[in-house]
Amino acid sequence: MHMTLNRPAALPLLRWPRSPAWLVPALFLAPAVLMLAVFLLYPLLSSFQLSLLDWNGLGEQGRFIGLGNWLHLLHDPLFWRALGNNAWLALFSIVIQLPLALALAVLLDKAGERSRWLKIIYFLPLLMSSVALGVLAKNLYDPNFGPINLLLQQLHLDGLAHDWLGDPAYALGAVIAVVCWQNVPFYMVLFLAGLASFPEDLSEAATLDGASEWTIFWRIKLPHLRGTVRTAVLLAIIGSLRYFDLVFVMTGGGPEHASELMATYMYRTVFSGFQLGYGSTIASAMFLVVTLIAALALRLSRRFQTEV
Amino acid sequence: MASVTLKGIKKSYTKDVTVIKGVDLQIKDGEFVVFVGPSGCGKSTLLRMIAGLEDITEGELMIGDALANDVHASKRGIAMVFQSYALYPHMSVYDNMAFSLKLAGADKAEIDKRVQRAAEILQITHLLERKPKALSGGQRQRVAIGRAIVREPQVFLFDEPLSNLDASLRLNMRVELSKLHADLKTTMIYVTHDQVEAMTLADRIVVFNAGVVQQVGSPLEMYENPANLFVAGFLGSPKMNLLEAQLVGVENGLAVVRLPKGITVRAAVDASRATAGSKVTLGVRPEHIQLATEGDVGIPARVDLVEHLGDIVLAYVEIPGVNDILAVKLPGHYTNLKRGDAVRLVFPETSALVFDEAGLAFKRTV
Repeated sequence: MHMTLNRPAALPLLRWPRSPAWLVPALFLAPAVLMLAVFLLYPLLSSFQLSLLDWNGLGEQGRFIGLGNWLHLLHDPLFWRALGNNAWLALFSIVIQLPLALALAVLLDKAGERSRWLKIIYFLPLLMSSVALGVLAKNLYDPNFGPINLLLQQLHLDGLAHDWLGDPAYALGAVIAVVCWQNVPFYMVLFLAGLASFPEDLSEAATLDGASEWTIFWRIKLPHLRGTVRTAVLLAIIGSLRYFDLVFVMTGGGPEHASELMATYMYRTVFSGFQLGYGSTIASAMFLVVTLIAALALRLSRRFQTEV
Repeated sequence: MASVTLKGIKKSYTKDVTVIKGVDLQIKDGEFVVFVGPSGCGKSTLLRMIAGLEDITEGELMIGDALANDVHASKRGIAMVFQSYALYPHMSVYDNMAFSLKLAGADKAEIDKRVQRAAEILQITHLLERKPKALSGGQRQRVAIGRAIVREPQVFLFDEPLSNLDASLRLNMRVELSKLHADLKTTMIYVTHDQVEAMTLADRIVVFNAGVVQQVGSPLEMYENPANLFVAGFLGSPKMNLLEAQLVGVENGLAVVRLPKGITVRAAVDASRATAGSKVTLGVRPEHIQLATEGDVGIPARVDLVEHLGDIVLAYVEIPGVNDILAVKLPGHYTNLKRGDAVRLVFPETSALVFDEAGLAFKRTV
């Protein structure tokens, strides 16, 4: 039997109206832009707007005072002290945290698989909440029952025992030590990732060239890590300038503002001092300082990168 | 310059994992020796053991007259060129080449002299200020070689140095390496899995398989007289046709083997150590198979596929009853040959090889 197949007539292709070239990228970007606008741009602009008001945050909208709060900020010794403390925190973050993290990363990298458990132990402080860590640190520093002072007394070093968090001379240092302890693992992981991408061939080539392990580290591995170091420095600066939680739990910025940071000062101004307008001025100033210093650090490190 | 002697060299990672299973080899002063073999055969590991980048589990390594087993890699008088080039990315070409000399405490004038000389040899003088990222693959390879040259080593080691280059550049670099060896006359040990590189560069080839040296010899010697089935199959492109057969006996000094369907083939080899009826393998290189002309007796076959490559024609043919497809390399004028054509194949007696049941070749008689 012979069968014939009747082909249906070809359907005309449906055509969508041609969309402008920018439409698809714009649609993809829209969710991110919307999120940024709602959670970043709006609060930021709102904060700047509030900084122009004299308002306690309660009741009716405050009184417009122009740049009054900003002028006050420029002459506020507490703000400058807080900014100075932030600068110390940033400096010690870079000087202590990064070299320590790098040293740990190099040692762990060298130990390879054998160091798996050590990596987990070192990483623990970062997994703990800052509040829990703050409470723990407060107990460690307790002048009467804290293990630090008890240990010093046991070692007959009573002269070195202090009221670590209660004495203005030691409070900032004590807080910075805990901040370093908390953040070293983060930078350690960052450097470990950088070291993991280091080509083994380069080490071998340098070994054949007669380089010692020390020379290989300084002259081959460290330059390889410069991008990671740059990122770490930036993160350390930005993180230090915005730091809040651990310090607030441990000292609340005290004693006598000895460990006051911009963020703790801003928090207390708004929520304890009920000065929403001035607190917003501090918050806006923090944003400007962080942006300015981060941009400066980025620029400097780029220049450094092009030079090496 | 120095000779390199390996005596019973073994490499084990654990008690059960031995990757180099006892290598004995004498590499003469100024010789260009190529280690070749499939991936994972241990050729690179052996090179790294010579370099001092891997410990030697057992055996003796002599560089020149000195035992080098426990000598640090930097003190062995060797220089190595890596597959990845391993150039220091943050240093200029000049600094890459000068690095070893600076570490050795050479004075500035001496460093400059050696770097400039190596750069001239490799024609990279204009690249000395550039960083590796600003170089092409071929230029990076030259810098890697330059870095080795400035050290004026006794032995050069090359670990698959051309693998990352494209085909035409690889050809150029092969020629350059040959010239370099002719100029420097330094002992060179070169690892590759590419048999063409091995055939074209080497004074002698060492074929490896599974951590064991299969055969050592000059390229042509290895090609013409492979010691076993592995070497026969490894060298040559397309590879040698290997057909299962049965030894009928020896007739007028020729081994007579029988393929399935009663097809007999004669080969000029000494098969006297094998017994008639034993299993053997017949080996014929694609370029040795001829198409029978009228009047010739030949083995009937059918063409399965034809590849016209211009200068040659590659035909893949099937002999009835024989499982394997045979590759036949014919002169380029066979332009009319097409799939499905019936042909008759001739295996010249003097070209055919026969391997015994253990895979070892019978010696040629001509």
